[in-house]
Amino acid sequence: MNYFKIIARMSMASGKYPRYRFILNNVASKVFTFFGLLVLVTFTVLIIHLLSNSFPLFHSPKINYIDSYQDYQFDQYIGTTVVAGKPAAMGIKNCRLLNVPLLAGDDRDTADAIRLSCDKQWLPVKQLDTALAIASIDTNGLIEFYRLQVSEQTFRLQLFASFFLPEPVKSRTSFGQHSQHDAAVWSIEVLDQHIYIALSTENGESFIIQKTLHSVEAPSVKQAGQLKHFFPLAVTHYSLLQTQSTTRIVDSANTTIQTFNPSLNKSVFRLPSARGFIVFDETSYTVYGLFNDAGEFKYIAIATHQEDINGIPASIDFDRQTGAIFILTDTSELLILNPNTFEVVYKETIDARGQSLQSVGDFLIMSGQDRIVQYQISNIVGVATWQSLFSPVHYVGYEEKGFIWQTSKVTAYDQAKYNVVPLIIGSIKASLLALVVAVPLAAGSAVFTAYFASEKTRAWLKPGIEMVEAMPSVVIGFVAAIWLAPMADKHLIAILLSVISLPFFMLAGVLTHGFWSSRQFNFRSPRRVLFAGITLLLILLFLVFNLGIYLQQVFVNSNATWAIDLLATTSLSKSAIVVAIALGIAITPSIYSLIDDAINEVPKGAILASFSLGANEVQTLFRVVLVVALPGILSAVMLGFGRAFGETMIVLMVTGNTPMPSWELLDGLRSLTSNLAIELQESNAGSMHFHILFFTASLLFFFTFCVNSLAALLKSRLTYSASNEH
Amino acid sequence: MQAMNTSWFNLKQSVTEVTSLLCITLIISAFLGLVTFIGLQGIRYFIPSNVHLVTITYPDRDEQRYFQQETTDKETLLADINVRLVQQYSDNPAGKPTAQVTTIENVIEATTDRGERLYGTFDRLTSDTEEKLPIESLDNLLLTVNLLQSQLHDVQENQLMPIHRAIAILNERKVDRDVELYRSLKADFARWQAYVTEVNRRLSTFALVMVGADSQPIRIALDELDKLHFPNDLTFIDKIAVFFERISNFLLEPPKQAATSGGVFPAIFGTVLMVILMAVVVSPIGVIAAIYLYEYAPENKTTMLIRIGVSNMAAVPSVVYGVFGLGFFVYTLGGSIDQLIYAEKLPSPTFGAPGLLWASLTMGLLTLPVVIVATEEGLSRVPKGQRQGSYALGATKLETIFRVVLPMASPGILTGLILAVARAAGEVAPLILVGAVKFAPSLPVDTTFPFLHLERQFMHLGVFIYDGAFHSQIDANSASIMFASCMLLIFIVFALNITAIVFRSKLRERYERSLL
Amino acid sequence: MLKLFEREVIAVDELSLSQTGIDVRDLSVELNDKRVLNEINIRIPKHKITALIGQSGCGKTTLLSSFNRMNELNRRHKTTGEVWINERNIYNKRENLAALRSRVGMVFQRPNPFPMSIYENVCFGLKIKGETSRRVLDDAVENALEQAALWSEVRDRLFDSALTLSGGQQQRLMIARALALSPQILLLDEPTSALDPLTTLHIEELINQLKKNCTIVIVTHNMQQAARVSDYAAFLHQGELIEFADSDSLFTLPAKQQTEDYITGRYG
Repeated sequence: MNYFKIIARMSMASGKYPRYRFILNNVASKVFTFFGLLVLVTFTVLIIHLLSNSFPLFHSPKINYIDSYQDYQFDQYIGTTVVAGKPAAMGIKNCRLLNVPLLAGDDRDTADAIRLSCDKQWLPVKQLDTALAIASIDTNGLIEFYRLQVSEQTFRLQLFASFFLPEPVKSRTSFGQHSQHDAAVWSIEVLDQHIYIALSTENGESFIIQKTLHSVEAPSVKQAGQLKHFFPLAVTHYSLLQTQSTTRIVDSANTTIQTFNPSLNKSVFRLPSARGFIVFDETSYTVYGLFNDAGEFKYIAIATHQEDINGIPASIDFDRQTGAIFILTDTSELLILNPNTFEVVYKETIDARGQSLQSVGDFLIMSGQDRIVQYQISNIVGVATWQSLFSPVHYVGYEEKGFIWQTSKVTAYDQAKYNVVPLIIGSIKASLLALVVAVPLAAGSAVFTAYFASEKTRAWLKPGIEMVEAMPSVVIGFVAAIWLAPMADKHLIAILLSVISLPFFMLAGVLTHGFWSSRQFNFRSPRRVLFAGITLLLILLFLVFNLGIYLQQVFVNSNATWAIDLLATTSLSKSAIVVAIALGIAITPSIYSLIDDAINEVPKGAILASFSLGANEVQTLFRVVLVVALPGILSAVMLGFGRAFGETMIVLMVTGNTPMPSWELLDGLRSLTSNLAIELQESNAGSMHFHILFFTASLLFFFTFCVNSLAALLKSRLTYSASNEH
Repeated sequence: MQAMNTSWFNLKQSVTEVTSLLCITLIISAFLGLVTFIGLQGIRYFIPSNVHLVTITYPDRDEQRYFQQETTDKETLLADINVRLVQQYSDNPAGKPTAQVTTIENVIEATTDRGERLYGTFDRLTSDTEEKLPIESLDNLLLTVNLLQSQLHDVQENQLMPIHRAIAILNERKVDRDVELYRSLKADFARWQAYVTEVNRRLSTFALVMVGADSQPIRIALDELDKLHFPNDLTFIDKIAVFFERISNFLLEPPKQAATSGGVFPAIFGTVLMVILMAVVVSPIGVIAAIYLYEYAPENKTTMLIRIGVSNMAAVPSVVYGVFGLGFFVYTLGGSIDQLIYAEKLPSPTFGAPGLLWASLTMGLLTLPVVIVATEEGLSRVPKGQRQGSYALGATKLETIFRVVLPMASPGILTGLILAVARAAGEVAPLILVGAVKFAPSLPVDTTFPFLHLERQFMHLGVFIYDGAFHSQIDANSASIMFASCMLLIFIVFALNITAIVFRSKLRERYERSLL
Repeated sequence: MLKLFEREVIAVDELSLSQTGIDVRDLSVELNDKRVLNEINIRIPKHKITALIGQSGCGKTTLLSSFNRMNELNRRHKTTGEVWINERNIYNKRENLAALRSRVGMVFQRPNPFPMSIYENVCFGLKIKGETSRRVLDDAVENALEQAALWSEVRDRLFDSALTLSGGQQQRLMIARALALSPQILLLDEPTSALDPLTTLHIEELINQLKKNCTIVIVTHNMQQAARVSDYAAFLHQGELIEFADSDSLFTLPAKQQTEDYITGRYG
């Protein structure tokens, strides 16, 4: 070779080896090593990145004490909100609404204030969202509602509703500034376009006033006896009333919908979604959720957990982003509950002294008479539990346990449901069905090229089929979505007929076997047979298909019940069957190529020996060739499974992408892969949704990685046994 | 007994043979069918077809008339329409509507600059002086329109623009509005503006008026008219000319009319640019890493594990790479770059959003294992003796690699690169996440500094097709531009693959010769 | 010449039909359009060992393979002439190839065990014939392995992979595999070419034992081996049968010059 000449001349001419060649050599070896390591590092970063974004889900949340504030003694604490990105406590003192930034450290006295009328009594208003609201009652019984509007630096009050307190409340109660230290207890809440006011007067009477926002209708009043606990519930405008003796759910006309027995008496809290409530007992708690039983709304128990809770739960709030539920007991024990399974994911005694609790952004604010305590929550996404991701969960609003993946909220009350089981089922269903289509086709074709056909035939058939392996999946998905799916719906009977006719074609082939395996059509180098076969098959399929179209017409015209039922109930277009066909066709070439290799690698000696022992071609095929090639074939099937599992575009384009935990053939599906393609860009970085999507990506990664490694292992065992022969 | 056995064996034999033959026939038919179907559907986008007048008479409301352009003949079109009507109106108590298809001569197919296709019969041409001109004067009118347009352009570039700039400068210097210069400029500006308005008015009088299928006039301003055909009166040669014109439009124009007409140039451009950038990144890294693994890495268990790991990375679902690309490249790397360099533009992201650079890097990562595995295979096929021969002559390791090993392994490496490029061209899933969009307002390359805008989003053929099927509610008939894009994509991918196969067989020949 | 085993021989011309194991008449074979065998006529004596000798490519293996029609596995082949075994021409259209091949066993140059257990290897042929009774199979396996003098070595590991055996053991296993079908004829295609001398001797001894029950045809390159084990020998040259005689005469007093040249090593 002339390279040698060059090298030889180089070393001859110099006489002595020039130094630079060795320096260059050393430098180069460092550069090569660097790039080799760079690639390694890149792949390691990939894996670590996937994992590090999934891990926060499995660490429990953390609560860190920040500071406590005792400087401001509010007459009336309203709540905490976010001003200019920082939490700030709002409270009323000396007829002024104060805004006190909660900052750890020195600069605390930037308090800002709005002057309020001193003639009125001011009360906090509860709302589901983080915005604060207050209400005022003057001596005439006019009640006004203000929303606190916070912009970058300033804040102001905006009136959004007002009405006169109706009788008999007005005459039985004293209000206004002078009564503010009297025993009347007000609880005002805005929920679902309704204002609810629960009021216990000093002489032990209770009233509930309900008013629809933006309506001229007069507020309704109901008397409630000795009220212990009250809260409105969403969607139905029902309310829960707890008195000393009973717990009832009533509608707006005060009709009792449901009564709970006295065991429901320790403490009751509404769920963040306002569509259910939690009842705490001594050693356990039960969650009730709204359920629409054919138009009749009722609350059913959806989860019960045994938990030793220290003290009586006194205050509840939830994280706005993940829905995680915070509960504080009167003995300062903080519980964090998963929003779907209601398991306790965190339990710790903190320094809060049974105060009321509020979650603002990343902070937990415990407020009481004398002080405000601020905690920071980190890793709140850790409320996700194994149970909530993989087990059947009884969600609020459903009759029984189920697996649901629903990440977008339709209403403010919805809780996002992250159960990955429907996605896993979707992926497995799609890939198994694809294998059902692909493996027989691939194996049959591989047997043909690697066993029956001559070397020459194999030499052009195999690369041909392998080349379609490179067919972009988006093209297959496109044709399946645009053409196959609508057609499958329109000509259902024709499609069924075509599939059913395939065995008959085979039978016809068997019967005419003698003719086409004769010398004229040499089966082993079957250019002609293949050409004739393809033409014949296409013509026959075309004829059968048209027959199917015609039959469908006939059946429909003659009102055959079964046909009409079949057509009405069966919709193939977004079903798993169309995916199976499209995905199956897409993975067939790669499975084919691997099976063909496996069969071709069977030692020729073994085949010869089998023949010499009197086995015929078929016996040799089934008892020697396929047996020996089995590890290779299995490995090919596994690789095909891995490929189908990871395929995105076809599943994305062909299915309806409905995440259903169903193995039915006619149901749609959503796979792990297509779910990522649909949802990842929409999810906010750092949110629970984002982390769970990364978790599904890690699942995908490790699953396919394991399947491929296993397949490679199987394959290497095969080559080992084959090479051992010599 | 013996005879029965024999026939039983024969039956088994024929069943096995027939089954295997049927399988391979099915596969080949499926793929041939797929490619043929795409080809036939796609080519319809280029073939000039006849325009038919469809009249549908409803029993309970007014008749509907419209023009439909179809490659099929009248009878097939009528049959199709009837099938549709039967399905739609099978429950209609008033009875089934009847359809009628006629082909009339002299139908005009006018394409506007916006890509709209309008059909009608010729009514008249109008100009600034005449209200009713025959079709023959079209060329003259078009000349006039062109002339006017160039005048307009000239005025705008050479008169209005300088005045405008001068006024702007005066404004900037806070010159008093009463200064003579200012006033004369203002007057000039007004004069030229009036001229432009006049020309525009004149231009708008040049129009083609057609009669639509519903007998309503359709007026198309001549300066908006892009193309005009008489599709039913084309000669064979005309048809060929139209065919090639449409192919060139498809390749060179941007999509129009919500991607139902026009071309796919930005998508082709984006695909090619992304793939080139990817190749620039991936080829040196992949090849050098493979050389490290094969020639430098110690032969131990760790290296073997790494090798298995790398080859397994090739089979990791592509969407996982997309997830990594979005999470790491876009949010982590891009976010950091934004904070360091483009802090003034925050919170609107520059590199912290999906874009061309991240797409190329993600694709590079995706194809890196392919390149490494192919290069290693190429290296392993170089006979040991060649290396030994080189060392025996006193060459260093580097010289051996560069002068002996790499030249021999180069076809293998090239094959790997081509396969990587083919894979990148056809892969869509990661691109949806890291930067390819269905419609990008501007190309990633333009004349403003720094010319190549790596942070921009771009269009990609595969994403274009995906979007066509997934988001737009289109059926097979109106999707012919998508089919044409499929055809183009398949062509690109297959061409690359065939090149790779040819290279590989060349490589084999070479080794067989060198081994003899 | 050293004689390892005692033998009684009848001159080839005096063989009666009943003493003939394989009667080859005007056999010509073309493989891949090349004539490999040209008008061969030979009567191979029953229950004797016949060696086929000749240069590489002279058609020995093809001749051997034509006795169980293995040549037909080649895609392009053409055979004319007749081969009579058991008073039947095996080249008739209705011949059942599977049955023929189970009557005519064959052992190849390199041992080619199936990648299955020893047991499975030996009973493969019987299973193919449809034998399912476990007892019959067990007996047959033991018998065959006994005959192949392998039983004592593998009796404890019958279900180990056949690939774990040594080369000589594998080759004896191949013989046992063929013997399990109790063939009338055993074809050996250079069975010892891949083995060491001691193992070769072992197998030669075995072959001599086997001739009680079968007609044995062996192809070999090794003159000493041919002389040692065979009763008869046939010398082929470029597809022609040059000489066929009992081994004593052929190796000591060859009738043809070509034969002598070959035996004495002037070419080949």
